[in-house]
Amino acid sequence: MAIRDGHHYAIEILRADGTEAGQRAASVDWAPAREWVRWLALRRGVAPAEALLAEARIGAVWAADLGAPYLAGVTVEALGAGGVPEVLPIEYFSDAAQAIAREMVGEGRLENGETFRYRPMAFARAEEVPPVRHSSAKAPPIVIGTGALREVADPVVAEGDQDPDDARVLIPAEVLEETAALTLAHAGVETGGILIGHLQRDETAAELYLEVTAQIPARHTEGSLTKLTFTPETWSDARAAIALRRRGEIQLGTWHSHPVKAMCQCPEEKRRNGCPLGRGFFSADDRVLHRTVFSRAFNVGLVVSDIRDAPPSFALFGWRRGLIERRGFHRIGAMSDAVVG
Amino acid sequence: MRMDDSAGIQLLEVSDASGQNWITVDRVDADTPVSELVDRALADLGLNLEDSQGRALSYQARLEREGRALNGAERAADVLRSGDRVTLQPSIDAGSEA
Repeated sequence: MAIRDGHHYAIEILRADGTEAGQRAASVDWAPAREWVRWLALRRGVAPAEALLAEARIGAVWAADLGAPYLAGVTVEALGAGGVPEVLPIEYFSDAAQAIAREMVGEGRLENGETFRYRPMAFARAEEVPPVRHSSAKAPPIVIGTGALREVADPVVAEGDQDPDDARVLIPAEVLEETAALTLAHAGVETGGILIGHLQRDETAAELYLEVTAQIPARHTEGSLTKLTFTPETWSDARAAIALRRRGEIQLGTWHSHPVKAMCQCPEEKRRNGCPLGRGFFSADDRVLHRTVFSRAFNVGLVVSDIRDAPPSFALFGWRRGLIERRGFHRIGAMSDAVVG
Repeated sequence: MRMDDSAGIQLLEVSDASGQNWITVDRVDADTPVSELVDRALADLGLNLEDSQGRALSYQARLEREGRALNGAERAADVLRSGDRVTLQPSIDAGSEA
């Protein structure tokens, strides 16, 4: 796993009234943290073969008020790739805390739906035991092209909130239009596809950015109102399509639709102001899919929501500091009237 | 007559479905079942083993040389050659249940 970590972890679960529901050993997935600092190394100019294989070291940041073993966050650092340790927030432990809370609900220690708080803790391990490995990591065939952000001929429109930690993601309007059209054509059933394109470095600003070039409609999927299953054949098909295009593209992520019109159960008066589901969100399933198939920190996921009395809306999600967050993107070109509505 | 495959497979490349995470497996014993090889590779690639509900995810091991899915019960030496590339691809859900 290429992660050095001299601690094991536990999480204390507190009820809303501050009483303790219990403490449990926590299993923490450090791969997203490692990928974040690898990505930062790549952005700094470290070669992909080095950056994407760099080992990461995790360190504790003790809570100022409670002191050790309580954590305020952790540091993560890509070893041998320059840079400084990055601080990850306490929210990094939220998935592990959720898993523990679910166990506690099952045991009757927490009520189902009860609000809880959590406090992660770290304890030094007597000896770091390297995981048993049967293989060695190999650099992925990822090439960084050279591009010029300023030479994009079409108008570029910023969509959503732009966070300074995020690399720019360029999505052509026609790609968005295709996803919108497919979403509308599959009313009441989820559909989706694979976003493909390139990792580019701007020759003037030396910044890395993602250039989405196309979407490949996902075939061999099984869709329903609230679910879209990407099967093994879906991934094979996407790779075959990329190979046929012969443009050196890589899979940058997925897109999928949320049929909000069919899902929405808001009362009529609320619907007029827009169902909250129409804002776009990443469900628990979406998060697991993204972590499983698109774990590199530059990978993104697009949600296209079909909403009432308006064209489909777009929400992009991606990795930021080891967490999957909603993020902005830049649309290239104008949307056609058919989609703008 | 059966070929002597006691040396096993010397080198195997395994990747995830995105093609952005790779490992090389240096030696695979001839008698290793594909299912065991897949389990080890999933661990080494750090891939999720469970869905959001804690149910086991299913993965297909695709042998790129033949463009087919391997069967978990197949014996490594019967289906793999040194230098082969295998892709592990899950059956996995996206969903709109918040």
